[in-house]
Amino acid sequence: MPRQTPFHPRTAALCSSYAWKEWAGYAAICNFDAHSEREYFAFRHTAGMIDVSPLYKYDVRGKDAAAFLAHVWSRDCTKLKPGRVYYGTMCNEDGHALDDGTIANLGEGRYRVTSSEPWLGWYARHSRAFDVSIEDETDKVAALSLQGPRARQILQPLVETDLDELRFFACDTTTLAGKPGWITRTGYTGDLGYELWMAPEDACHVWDAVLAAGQDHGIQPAGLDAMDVTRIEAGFVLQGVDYISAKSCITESLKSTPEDAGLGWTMNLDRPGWIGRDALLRERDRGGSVWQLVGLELDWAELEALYDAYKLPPHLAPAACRLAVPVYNESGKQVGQATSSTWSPVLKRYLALAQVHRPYGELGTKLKIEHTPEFERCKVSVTVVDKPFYNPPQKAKTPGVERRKAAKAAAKEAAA
Amino acid sequence: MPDVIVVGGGHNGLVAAATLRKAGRSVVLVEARERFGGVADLLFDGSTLSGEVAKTLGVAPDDRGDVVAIGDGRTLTLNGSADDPGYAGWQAWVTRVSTILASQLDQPAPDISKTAPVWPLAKTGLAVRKLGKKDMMELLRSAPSCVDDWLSEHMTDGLLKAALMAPALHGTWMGPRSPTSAASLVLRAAMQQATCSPRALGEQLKTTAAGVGVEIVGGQAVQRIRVDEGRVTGVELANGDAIDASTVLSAVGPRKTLLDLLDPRMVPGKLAHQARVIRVRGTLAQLRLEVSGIDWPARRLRIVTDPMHLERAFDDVKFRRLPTVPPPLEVEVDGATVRVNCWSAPYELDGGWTEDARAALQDAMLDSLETALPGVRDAATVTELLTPADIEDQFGIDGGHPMHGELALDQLGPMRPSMQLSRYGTQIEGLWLGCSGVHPGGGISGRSGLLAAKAILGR
Amino acid sequence: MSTLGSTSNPYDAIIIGGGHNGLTCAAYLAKAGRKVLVLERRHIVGGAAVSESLYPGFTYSVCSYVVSLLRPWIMRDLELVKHGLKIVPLECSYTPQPDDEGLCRWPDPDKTRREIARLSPRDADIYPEFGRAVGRLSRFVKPFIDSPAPDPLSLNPKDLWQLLGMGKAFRELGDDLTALQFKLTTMSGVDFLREWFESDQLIAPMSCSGIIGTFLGVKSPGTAYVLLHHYMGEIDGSSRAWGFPVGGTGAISEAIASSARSFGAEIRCSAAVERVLIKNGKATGVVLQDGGDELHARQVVSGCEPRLTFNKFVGAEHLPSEFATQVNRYKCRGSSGKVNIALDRWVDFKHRPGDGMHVRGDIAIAPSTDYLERAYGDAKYGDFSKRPYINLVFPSLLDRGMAPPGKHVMSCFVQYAPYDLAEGPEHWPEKREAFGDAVVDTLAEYMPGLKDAILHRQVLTPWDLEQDFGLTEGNIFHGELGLEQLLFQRPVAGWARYKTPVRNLWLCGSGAHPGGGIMGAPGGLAAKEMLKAGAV
Repeated sequence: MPRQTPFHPRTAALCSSYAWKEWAGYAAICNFDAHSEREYFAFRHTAGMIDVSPLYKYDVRGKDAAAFLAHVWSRDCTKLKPGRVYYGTMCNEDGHALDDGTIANLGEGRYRVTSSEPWLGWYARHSRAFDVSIEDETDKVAALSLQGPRARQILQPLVETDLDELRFFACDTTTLAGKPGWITRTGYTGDLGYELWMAPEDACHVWDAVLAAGQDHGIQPAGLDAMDVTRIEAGFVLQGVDYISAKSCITESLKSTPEDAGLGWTMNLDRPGWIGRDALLRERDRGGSVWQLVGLELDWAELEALYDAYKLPPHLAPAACRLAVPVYNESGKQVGQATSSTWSPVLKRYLALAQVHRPYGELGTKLKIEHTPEFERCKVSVTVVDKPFYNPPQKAKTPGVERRKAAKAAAKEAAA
Repeated sequence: MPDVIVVGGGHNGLVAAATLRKAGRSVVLVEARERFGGVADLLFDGSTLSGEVAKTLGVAPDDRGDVVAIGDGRTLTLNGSADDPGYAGWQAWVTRVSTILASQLDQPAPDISKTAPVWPLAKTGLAVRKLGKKDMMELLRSAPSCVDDWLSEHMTDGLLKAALMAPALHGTWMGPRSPTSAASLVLRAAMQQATCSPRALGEQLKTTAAGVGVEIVGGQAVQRIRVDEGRVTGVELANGDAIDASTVLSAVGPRKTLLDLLDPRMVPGKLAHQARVIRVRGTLAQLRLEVSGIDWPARRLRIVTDPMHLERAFDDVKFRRLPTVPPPLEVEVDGATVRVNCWSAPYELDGGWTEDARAALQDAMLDSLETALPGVRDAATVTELLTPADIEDQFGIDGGHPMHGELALDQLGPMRPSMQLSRYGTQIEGLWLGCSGVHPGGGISGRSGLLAAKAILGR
Repeated sequence: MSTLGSTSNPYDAIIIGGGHNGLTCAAYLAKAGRKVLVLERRHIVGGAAVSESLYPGFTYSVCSYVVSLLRPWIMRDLELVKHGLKIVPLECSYTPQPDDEGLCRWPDPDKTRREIARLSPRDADIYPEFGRAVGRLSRFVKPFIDSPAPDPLSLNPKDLWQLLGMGKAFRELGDDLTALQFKLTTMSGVDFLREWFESDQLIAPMSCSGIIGTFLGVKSPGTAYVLLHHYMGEIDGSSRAWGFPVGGTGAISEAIASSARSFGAEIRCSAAVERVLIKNGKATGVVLQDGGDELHARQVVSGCEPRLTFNKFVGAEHLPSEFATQVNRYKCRGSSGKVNIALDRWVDFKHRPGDGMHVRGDIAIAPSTDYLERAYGDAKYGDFSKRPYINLVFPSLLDRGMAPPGKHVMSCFVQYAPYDLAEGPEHWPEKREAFGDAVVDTLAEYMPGLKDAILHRQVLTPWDLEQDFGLTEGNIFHGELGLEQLLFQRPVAGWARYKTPVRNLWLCGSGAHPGGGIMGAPGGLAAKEMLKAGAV
């Protein structure tokens, strides 16, 4: 029986669909309404607020905190400045991905780490050489994510931090509707967004304040289903779906290196001293990984025609599908699997994330994906396309920075 | 700068140093204590010495005579024959099997890792098959069983059985009723090639080593083995001096080497975990006495009643308590100096080895001695008592365990001390391990040091 | 046509012992069209997988009470579901403590995690990893229990090929799992678990599965590999390992018997066998105890324990002396007893009241590893444990038919109760009640209202298990499951494929590969060997 998050009194009251699922032992909402469309459009046009408290969270501090984090995570946390956040991958000694997550440096030697799986045992085993203390904060911190183009406008009155200056992947200790906590400019929708972190007893207060502040902006409490569509549009992989933590794999073939999982960009093989690096160097020397994680776009016209043949309207519901389906090359040989797929309402494209054998992951490659209208397994053409599929400008831009850039450009022009 | 630094002047370290020197390498050996030979100063059983070591390093054979077992009001001389009708057949089988197994203990452990070639493993299998079907079946049947069951299938004399099984249990965390203790007995038998007097071994080997040109540094503890970019660069001594070398052979125990002597940052979490789980629950305590006016039946004695006596003593170890029965003992008499070993004093004693605990242990050991030799208590002056905690402090060995790791099947052979470390090399370039904590293990043997040296030379 | 069983019209096979293996063997032979007779000494079939009503309204699963590895191929081949087999899951493992609520491990992994985290946050994270690692190893066991034992000493190409395959699969595990397998095979349960976990309260109940039915303590080497049993249920693909058969384990035996009969097998109860008829070194039938009637058969199969089979039914004069010696070395030391209790009402556990999910699985009185080891210590020196290890199930919570409404049955498996009491096994009857009292006293520490609620109590000591159920020295597995008597060494090296030195005499019980537990595998594999050999 799952536990309730600190936001439960608010979210349960609003959940008219009774659609819950279990996330890390907590009860989490799939969608508030009967369908997740309205929540999805909030994420894309205004702002969606979603309870992400079930993330595993760790408080890491001590003289060697940065060095320790740089040892277990793929990013060099000794270079992570206060007020900044890294997104990284954690690997085992064989170079297989265990998890992905964020590391925030809140200053004064305090770090906050998030992940999708619990790692206290792992951290304990690998912290012997470091003067560091690691505490599991999962149940002690409530987390609320506000994502969407209006997120900044909605939040600014509620936080001390100047959001016009808070850059992409920055963090700050602040007050949230008067309550102590911290804010990170991070999120899982690939858009402008912030995550708010606070004590559990302050959760409902902050929820109420954010919801109230967002009323005039079209704010919408959102569930995991809507977020799933947005994260696929953003090209984000999900542990447990697009790759499986080596910890959970019961056979070797199910394990993925960061490259296999599309997380190769988070690792720097030239930097020594992190777990898995040596094994991954060896993999690189052997020719690299066999797999690539790619974005696929289904041929919409072909899909329509397929359904037409069955006298059915095409199935384009904006609900992400996590049922893996085979991906074939043009001669019909299976070359991979699409693990997440969705129709993207904002892009009007049918998208998927897939692991395929090299070299079938080259951009522009034409492949086939299995699609099953009315119980018959068919194949539809897909093309390997670039990720992220959706990358709006407001995701990474910061108004203060933009203003200064514009002023500089104007001054230059005036001088010229 | 020497070619090799050997850390630790125990008997394996000395053997390794001398072997390396004789092959032409320049060697410095560093020992923390003033005396050499390490635990050879504590152990009495000198019967498991490697024949090759005895020959090539000129070790004098054991001159102390047969062990006499005393218990239950009787004495029994352990000289290879006994009245019990089942003994001869059993002993003959053990000898047959040991001869075949011995070759496995005189070479490195098989490499059973995923990438290891299969042929050497097949060779090992075939070598063991030389035993013949009947003896192999008997081995497969007996080895996993407990030594009490096994010996009872052949013999009835309780004192004889206890006297035969006791030395095989030393250094294990087992009693006569523990499964696989029979394997311990067979393995010990397989190591019986040459003999020596352990007490004299340290000096003998030191003299030999110095004689062939090993530079010997005594009374200096190594504090750190320096590693730079994955390679060994030398050692640092406690007094601040440093000695550079690109090869270091550590003969002070895998656990101590990996967890104390190396910078933690050089030891990945997984390797540290493997080192931490090496079980080193010492059970040895030694009482040293000056005794006059006692007529000793022999220079070496084993005081034990029957197998259940050993089992009850092991219960004390298991429950981390002081002796609840006068413990089985082994005794070595050297003129007026008498040393008494008790192998059922738990390192992990509940409450620790306090003054009261020490006194209680001493009393129990003297009680036991008195039962076997009435009058000895009054004739004896205690000069020293070493508990497992003392042994840990004075000899620098974790858990006070003289073999640097329990002699348990999962910590023997290719798994001693772990699958990656049983063949003397380590992941760190130039760092080698060679002591009882590495295959083949055992008590006074010298094989680990010899094989480690050969592994270094083979490179 | 002369009567079936006469010399001119012999049965194809007579099976001595209507335990679940004997019945399985009979069913397979009958299904293959053979004329089969099962002779059972007791008034009902089942052996130690039997359910009886000894107090009106209440049914006890008298000896065994849970099942986990009943082979799927046997369930399918013998259509056991059609014959009434129904197994309900045993989902929780609850370990109460005398002074607090103890630990419960649930089917919900997160709930389990939270419970373990109270004892040790690190252990909570590592627990599922441990399960996965050991689970991967237990996959190796599956081929062993579903086929005859491999013979490492054989030079037969087929055997060598099988061994080579095993070796290859073993290495493919990868170094970490290879090392783990090595450790699992040789270590004690406690030492093995201590390499992963730090909490003794977690290690204690986990180590128990390693000592069930053995005469060893949790700190004895060789008790780790039996831990695999707990995870082996996964190998058959079902998500839950242990289950309670509706109607008790007797219902399993009844289902197999019904299947056997449906194929034409004949089953006679209250038909004790005196001995096997042996002529010119060949088994030709059996002699019944009552009346001395002779029944003839082409093959005779014993589902009884090997020493019982060869000493009582055969006799040393018919056996090669080497074999007779080896068979008498076969270890059967019984270490357990059973107490079945009829309760007038539900009795709460002091620190977790109610009859909720936490008590609808198995409950272990195993508060610490020292407690468990002390229980073993008592028995080592010839007495039953004053504070024993108890594995407890409430069948009435899982199957409402076992007791009247509102009333309950307690099934208590107890260790240790040594067959060899210091004063001699024949003194067990005098100590039976004291043994039962020790069990009740121990349980009463955790369930204060227990004694007042007891309506009836059945106490089975190792002596009773031997006398009433034919289990030599009360060993529940027809012989200990130590490495030295498993696989190609069960019951005797060289005779591990169901054949015996007496021609036409076979073994099909738990004393044959793959051993004890309610698997049915020995019975099924023996039948298949017999059919393959064209013996029958």
